[in-house]
Amino acid sequence: MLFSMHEIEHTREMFEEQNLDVRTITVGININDCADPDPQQATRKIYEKVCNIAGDLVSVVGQIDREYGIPIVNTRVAVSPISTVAASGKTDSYILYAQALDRAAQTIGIDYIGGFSALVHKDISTSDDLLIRAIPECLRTCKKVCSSLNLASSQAGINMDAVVRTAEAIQKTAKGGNMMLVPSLWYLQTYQKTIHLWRERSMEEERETQ
Amino acid sequence: MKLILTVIGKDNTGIIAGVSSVCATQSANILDIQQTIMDTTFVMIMLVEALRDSLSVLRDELLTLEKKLGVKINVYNEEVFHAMHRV
Repeated sequence: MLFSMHEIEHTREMFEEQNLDVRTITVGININDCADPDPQQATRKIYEKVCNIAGDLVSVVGQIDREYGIPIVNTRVAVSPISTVAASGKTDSYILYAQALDRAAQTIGIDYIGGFSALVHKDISTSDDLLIRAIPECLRTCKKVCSSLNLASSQAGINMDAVVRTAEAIQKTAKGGNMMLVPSLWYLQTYQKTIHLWRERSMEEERETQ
Repeated sequence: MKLILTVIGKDNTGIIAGVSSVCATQSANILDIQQTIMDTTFVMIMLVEALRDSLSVLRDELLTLEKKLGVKINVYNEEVFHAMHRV
């Protein structure tokens, strides 16, 4: 046999006893071409594009799982940041976009869809602001949508205004209940930092008023 | 496609016969077998050439056999071991 008994046993042990697995298979979809001033049209295009491109993801992942005998835990789709795609949309609430992503994820049967996101490390645009405002409702009402905010880069540094806005959004989300364990832990980790930031800000405000 | 089957469990009669029989019914050709008894534990590794189309049925039948014999049967694609142990 090409492999020794020890090598085969070692690999089997990794899969069966040390829980080695493929954590997720992700399809990345650029939805920038779905931008439309009419949010209804934009969300329709997003839904259709995600369903067309990633429609077979779950069945293909199942085939790979069966063919190789390796457990694949999650199937996921990641789309371009919604704050960019929705920037041209004439709307005050981005929850429509989150709902379209959620519908698409449920239609194709994946575990998660990521992309209700904004890149705010340089500045917060009006579109980014609308997205941050929609995060608590998005996470409360959608089942499969993941949200993220890019607050810093080594080139641009940390956008501290964005850190505060993010902390506020996390706190509002956590207060809304219906949170999964992982975001709750993130919330606790960020909580100390949030309090600290608020103290700094309030002291500054006090100095200004004096 | 080549598969590596591992069978581990309490030694009993009919384990090799049972696994071989399932392979034969699914036209899976047994290329090599290594088997040993460690204390009272039966350990077998089998290299099998199987048809891609019958892979799902083969897995299902081995799962049924696993429960019947009280052993643990794992089925892996040989390419997994190439990726893990060979450069």
